[in-house]
Amino acid sequence: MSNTKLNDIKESALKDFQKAANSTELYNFKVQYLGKSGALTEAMKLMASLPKEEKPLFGKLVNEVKAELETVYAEAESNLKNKEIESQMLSEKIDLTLSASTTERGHEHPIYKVTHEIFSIMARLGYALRTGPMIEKDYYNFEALNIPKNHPARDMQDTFFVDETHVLRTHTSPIQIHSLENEKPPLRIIGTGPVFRCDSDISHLPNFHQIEGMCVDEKVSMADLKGTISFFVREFFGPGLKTRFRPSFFPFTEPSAEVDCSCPICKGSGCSLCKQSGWIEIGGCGLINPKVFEFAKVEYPKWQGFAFGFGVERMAIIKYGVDDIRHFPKNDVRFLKQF
Amino acid sequence: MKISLKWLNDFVDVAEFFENPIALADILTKAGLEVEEITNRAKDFQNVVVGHITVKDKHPNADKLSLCQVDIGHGKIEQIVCGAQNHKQGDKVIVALPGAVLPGNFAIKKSKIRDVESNGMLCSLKELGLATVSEGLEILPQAATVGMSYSEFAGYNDVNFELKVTPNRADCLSHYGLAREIGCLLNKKIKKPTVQTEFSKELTSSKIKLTVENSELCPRYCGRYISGVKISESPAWLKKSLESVGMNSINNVVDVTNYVMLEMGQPLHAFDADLIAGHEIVVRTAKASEKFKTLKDQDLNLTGEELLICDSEKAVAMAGVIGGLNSGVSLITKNIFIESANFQAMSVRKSSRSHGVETDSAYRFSRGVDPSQTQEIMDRAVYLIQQVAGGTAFAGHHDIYPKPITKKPVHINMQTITDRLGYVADAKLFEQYMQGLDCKLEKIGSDYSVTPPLFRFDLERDMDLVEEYARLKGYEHITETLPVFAKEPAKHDAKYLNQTKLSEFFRAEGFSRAFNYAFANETTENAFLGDASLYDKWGLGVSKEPVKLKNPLSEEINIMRRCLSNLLWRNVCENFHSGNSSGQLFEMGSVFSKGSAEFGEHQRLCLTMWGEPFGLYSEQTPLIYKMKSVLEKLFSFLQISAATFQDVQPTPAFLHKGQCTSLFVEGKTIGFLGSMHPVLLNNSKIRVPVVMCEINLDMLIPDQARPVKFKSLSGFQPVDRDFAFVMDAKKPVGDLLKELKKAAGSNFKDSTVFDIYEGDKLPLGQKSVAVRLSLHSFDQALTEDMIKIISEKAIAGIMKTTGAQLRQ
Repeated sequence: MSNTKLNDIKESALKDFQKAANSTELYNFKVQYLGKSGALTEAMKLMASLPKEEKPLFGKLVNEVKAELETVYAEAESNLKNKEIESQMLSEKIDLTLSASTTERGHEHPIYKVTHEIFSIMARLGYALRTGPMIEKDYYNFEALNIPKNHPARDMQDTFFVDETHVLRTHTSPIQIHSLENEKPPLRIIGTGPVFRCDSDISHLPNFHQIEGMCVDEKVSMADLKGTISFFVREFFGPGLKTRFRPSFFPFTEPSAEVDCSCPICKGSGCSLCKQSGWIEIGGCGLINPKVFEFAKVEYPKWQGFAFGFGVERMAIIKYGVDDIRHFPKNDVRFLKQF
Repeated sequence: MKISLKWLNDFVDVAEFFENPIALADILTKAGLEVEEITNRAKDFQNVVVGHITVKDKHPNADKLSLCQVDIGHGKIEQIVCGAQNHKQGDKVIVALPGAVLPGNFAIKKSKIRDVESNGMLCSLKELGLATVSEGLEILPQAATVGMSYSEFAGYNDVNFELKVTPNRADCLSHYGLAREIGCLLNKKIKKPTVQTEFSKELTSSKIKLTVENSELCPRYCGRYISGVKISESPAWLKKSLESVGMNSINNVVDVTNYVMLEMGQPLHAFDADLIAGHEIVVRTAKASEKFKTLKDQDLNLTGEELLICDSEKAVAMAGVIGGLNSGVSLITKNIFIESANFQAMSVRKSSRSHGVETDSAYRFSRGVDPSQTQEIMDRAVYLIQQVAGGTAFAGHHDIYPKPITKKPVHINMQTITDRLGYVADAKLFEQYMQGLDCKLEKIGSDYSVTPPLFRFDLERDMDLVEEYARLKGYEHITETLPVFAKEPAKHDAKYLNQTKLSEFFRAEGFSRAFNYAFANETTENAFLGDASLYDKWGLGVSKEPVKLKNPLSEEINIMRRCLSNLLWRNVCENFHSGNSSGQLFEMGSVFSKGSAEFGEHQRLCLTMWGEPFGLYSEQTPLIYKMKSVLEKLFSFLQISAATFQDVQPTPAFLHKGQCTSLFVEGKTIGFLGSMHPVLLNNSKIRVPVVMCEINLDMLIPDQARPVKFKSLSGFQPVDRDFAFVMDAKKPVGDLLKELKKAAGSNFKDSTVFDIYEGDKLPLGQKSVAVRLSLHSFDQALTEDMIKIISEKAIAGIMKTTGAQLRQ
């Protein structure tokens, strides 16, 4: 009799657990059957009235039913919870075609982006960054770089004058002289900053930027210079690009060379950027002229060196394809956003 | 410099390059003489020939057109329709035949004009790009050979190079000089120009006496007298030669002096001998404030440093620069005195520069002219003058050359070349190169003593010869190695690294980096800044006198900037009016000041934000608070804890008086934060708020970066307490927060204002401020008693300093 009752309770419970529409209802059923005063607990009380020999069997049966119901309950509960979370998430749907934030990320100016990239490449070769004053003594801008007064080499750079003895530096090369005077060789430095030329047209700004390197050591050759620049070109513009030296003239280097690299746009096959030549002029370089060492009071030929320099705006024009140099000082957000 | 290949061919055989001038251009460019442009007229005028109009009829279908039968030589007659009106039957004309491409990429094709076949075009000079205006067709002289290519007829069968000659290569500033270089590069023989002059028995000195007073500035002076010349137009060959390199023809004698200069690189001057007073030439330095009128009619006030060519009364030329108006060759000149001299380079450059008189002569002298050829080249000119203007050349030319210039031999070791170029230098090759350069060579053991020719001013040291070796062998032979560096690398410039760090920070905060010129306009900047002296109080010294440029490019940019705000403000205006209605910019850079002796450069940081948030879910925080929060984050980024915002008076002229504060960092005021002045916004038609902040970067960032120091974490829960105070609406809440912090002491973690209320529920002029105080402790759990003590202390302090009452 009691066994039948136990079975009824079980069947009823299983039916109810299946029937429950949500976890609260399910829980109520759980209390109803498995709770402290639930049906199963009540059934357990019947055990007292059973003959002694039947007790263990009945007890076992009750425990079996209890275990089964608890298992079924747990499964049903987990199913219901899952369903509920699913429906909750559907109701909490957010339209992600909308965007919340209107703030933009900030952008580096291409001039500084290029400067920093060049600096980072050269830093890997052990070059330390240097800066210097923009209002420079005539001596540092010209004479110490072997450009005497009334020398035609001065015509190569249109100069802004501040007073009788000061100019706005026309190149970053005075940084070399400061470094030679203030630091002890061997030296590897990279100098950068704004420079000034009294010249403004479609391809020149009166205030632009240069970056240059100097290496002073006991034995320095043109091959070292070419190797260094070739490494730089491949790192900066991409692998596979070639470097070409052409003889040129700078008062502070001897021998001097102009540096061309194979056009990064067309890879040398000819395009409008390289004027169909396959080559792009990127800067000047050479072995440091012994006269420069004399001015800076560095012993030559014990110490020798090379130096090279690039125009930062020009590098940015080549690298990013900027079509007009006059964009650089305008700071139009539409321009800056592209970098 | 413009070079004519035809002219070059007079001295070195370059005939093979007429078909392929690019090959020669490459050779020169690789040798350091960059060919910047090649003009090939013969190619431009392909299929353009001399034609003869044998029949001219009316076009059957058009009144204004004519139908011509044109003989184009080689037995061919072409029918051509023509719209011009100035030609007649029998005229010789220029015919562009199918296949010709005229300027503007205008290709000539066979066509039909109003149903009539036309096989070419009769041309005006304008259509050929040879004139800017033309009235009808160019009618050629009857002597023109029918069928001849027009370029040959007009002497355009030449190739021109635009050569970039670097200042060290003065020896290549002439056709002969370049021919000499090509001879060396291609191992070819060069020819000297013809000099066959017969002289009369009379002596030059019988007509003109010569004295050189300053032989330092005039190392050599040669002169010769020619009587009975006939000044006229130059013959065609001379005119065409000059025109081919872009020089105008003046008269036969002047043209010869120019021709010889372009040929040999020696500037010459011809005086009208009858205008030389006292029959004498004196070479002397000018007297201070002496006057001189150039042949271009410029009046010069001399400084006293210029070298002059004078007669017994007056200056007749500024040596090496320009002749005088008083003594030049004119159409009535009969007798001339030819000057061929050598003047000191620096002196000529100084005279030319200081008076702004730039001439071909001064250009060459200031770079260097060969002193050994002065007389030979003079006689080349005398020979040519006799060819084109007749006359009798007098014997006994002047030649004052007291100290013949010599070149010092250069000592060089082959190992030096090997070491510096990075490849093994070959002695045989070296000898060959040096001889090719006209150097005298002497072998001393394994070394050489090399005496360069007088025309190579740039060969003075062994390194100059190293360059010559590398150049002649070809820079492409230089290999690529990386130098070994034994020493540990030096430290980077701290300023640069700091700026890089800051740039990263500001970009993460949404600011884009700007670059403005270091220049400013004095008037604009003064108006923007107002009283320069007030900025000291703000930690941003502005020198009253700006650093002025002596030669500004334009008055728009005539000083060095003293602040960045002015320029970023302009960037904001331009951006706003280009449709960028909101944005954030920052700039780091130098501003300049003028001290009594030196010039100062100071690092500044400037930030600006403009525009209102727009769109769904956008933050409605006032712009100036946004900027303030960026600055608070900046201080935290830089590990600066002692930073506050303090009131300073008077406020900068360009800022809103009620929305402006100073940055007070570690005991110093280092800049401002504020909204732009409403009048400036209004004047520039900026309809959105603009916030500006400028900081003294030298003071913000110490040389040594602050080390990060870890503090162990509190193991105890923080405790929050909320308060509401009622206070005077005009008083700053900051004072209240200061008291809270003070009361909490070492238990202070944070305080946050979460509500401010003004309105009906409060008396007029009062506001309620709700603030949450967060407390923590590192060594114990905070008890109620402790919290109570802090709270009471805070309330009392706040009441005392601000008059605020706890809201009940």
